[in-house]
Amino acid sequence: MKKQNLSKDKHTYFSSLSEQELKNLLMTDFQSIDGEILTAEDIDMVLGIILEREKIAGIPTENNVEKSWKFFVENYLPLAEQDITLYDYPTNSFQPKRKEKKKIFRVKNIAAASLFFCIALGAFSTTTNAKELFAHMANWTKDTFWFSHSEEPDVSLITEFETAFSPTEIPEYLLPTWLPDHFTKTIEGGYEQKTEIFKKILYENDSSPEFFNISVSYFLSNPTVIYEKDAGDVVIYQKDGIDYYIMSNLNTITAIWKVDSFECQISGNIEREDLIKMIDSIPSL
Amino acid sequence: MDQITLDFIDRLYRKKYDFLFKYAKYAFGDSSIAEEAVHETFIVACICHEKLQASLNPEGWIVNTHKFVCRNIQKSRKREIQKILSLTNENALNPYTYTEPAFEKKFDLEDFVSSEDVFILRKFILEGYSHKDLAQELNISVDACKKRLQRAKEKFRKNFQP
Repeated sequence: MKKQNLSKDKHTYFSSLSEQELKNLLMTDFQSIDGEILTAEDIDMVLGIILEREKIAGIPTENNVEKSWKFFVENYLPLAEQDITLYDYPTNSFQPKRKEKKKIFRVKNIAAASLFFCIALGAFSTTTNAKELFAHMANWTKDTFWFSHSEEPDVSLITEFETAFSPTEIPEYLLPTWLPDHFTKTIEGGYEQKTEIFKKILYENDSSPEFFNISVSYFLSNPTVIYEKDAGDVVIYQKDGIDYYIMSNLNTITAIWKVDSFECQISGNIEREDLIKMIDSIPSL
Repeated sequence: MDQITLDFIDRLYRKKYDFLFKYAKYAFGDSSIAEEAVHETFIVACICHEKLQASLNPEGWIVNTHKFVCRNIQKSRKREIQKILSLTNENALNPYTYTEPAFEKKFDLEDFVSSEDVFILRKFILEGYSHKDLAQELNISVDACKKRLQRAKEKFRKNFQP
């Protein structure tokens, strides 16, 4: 039962991420030098979420699995039967490694610090769960990215975010001053790269599976940012001259808005009414 | 390989193909290489079918193997391209600033390998062709293509001493 809850926790979390974030997660794991960031189960889960979203969005698959299998049997199986691979490998390459349980995840080199969250390999055992893992402090290289679990008392959102962006000041009219009741900050994470400074905070409901993320990006260049959505319309909610783009993606609702070089996002499986209330609580210019 | 094992691999292939292809497509940005990576994973699965079938989690085994295969393909291709490009300069050139005319002026590859081998090496290493694409271009089987590529690389290594 505990293991099932653990998988469900992970699935809920992964489902809250956009395709770009999920892709970044996979690729950071792929490029990691020290070992694995994601377990095979994590990778499978992430890919499953991506493929399910594409199926729901009606994106046609480029694969004909039947045709590919036939091609494999005709062209590659004969190689396999002679123990020939297409590429050379170091010896004893195909012994799957036993994953060591790591309480604290350490990263030495992150090539592209575009990932905002990592799940330590092996820490999801039957005796721990996602929340316990998130309670560990991970001391990543400060110049790249970080995450932590904190039990600090409630502070305003501007105070929550201002350290990450210092010395750049966060405008007072950027972030909500009201958050829905019964939600607690559970995880925060972020990264800094040449083109962007980013911070994200996850809030979870104490007594239900509801959650939402608030993220802020400060762009040091002019990137093109792509947001994932389902077939529903994008609604523009205007307040004090700022456009708040509201869209849905399966069971999550997202609001995105831009002020100067800051771009903010609230995303989660909360009620639309609560999302609008948060937007309405943003102070006027 | 017996039919039971082949059926086992077949079921796993159909179940995981889209997953593995997606992963490889993210890694390489190219559908041909992504397809090749998936097929290479299943070649490994067939070679190590006893380990795979004995695994408590064959799907997890395949996913882990695929990640390893993709990393190996990436490293292998990077190594080969750097080897070739290092010929054009004392220090290895940045592949992103490589220009073909500059490469050809500096060296006549046909001093070291036949023109057919030059064609194969250029297509596979510099233009990033998969084994399947190159086989189709040469109108030969993947097996024959792999052998020809291997021979071309060996000849090149043997005849050119940087």
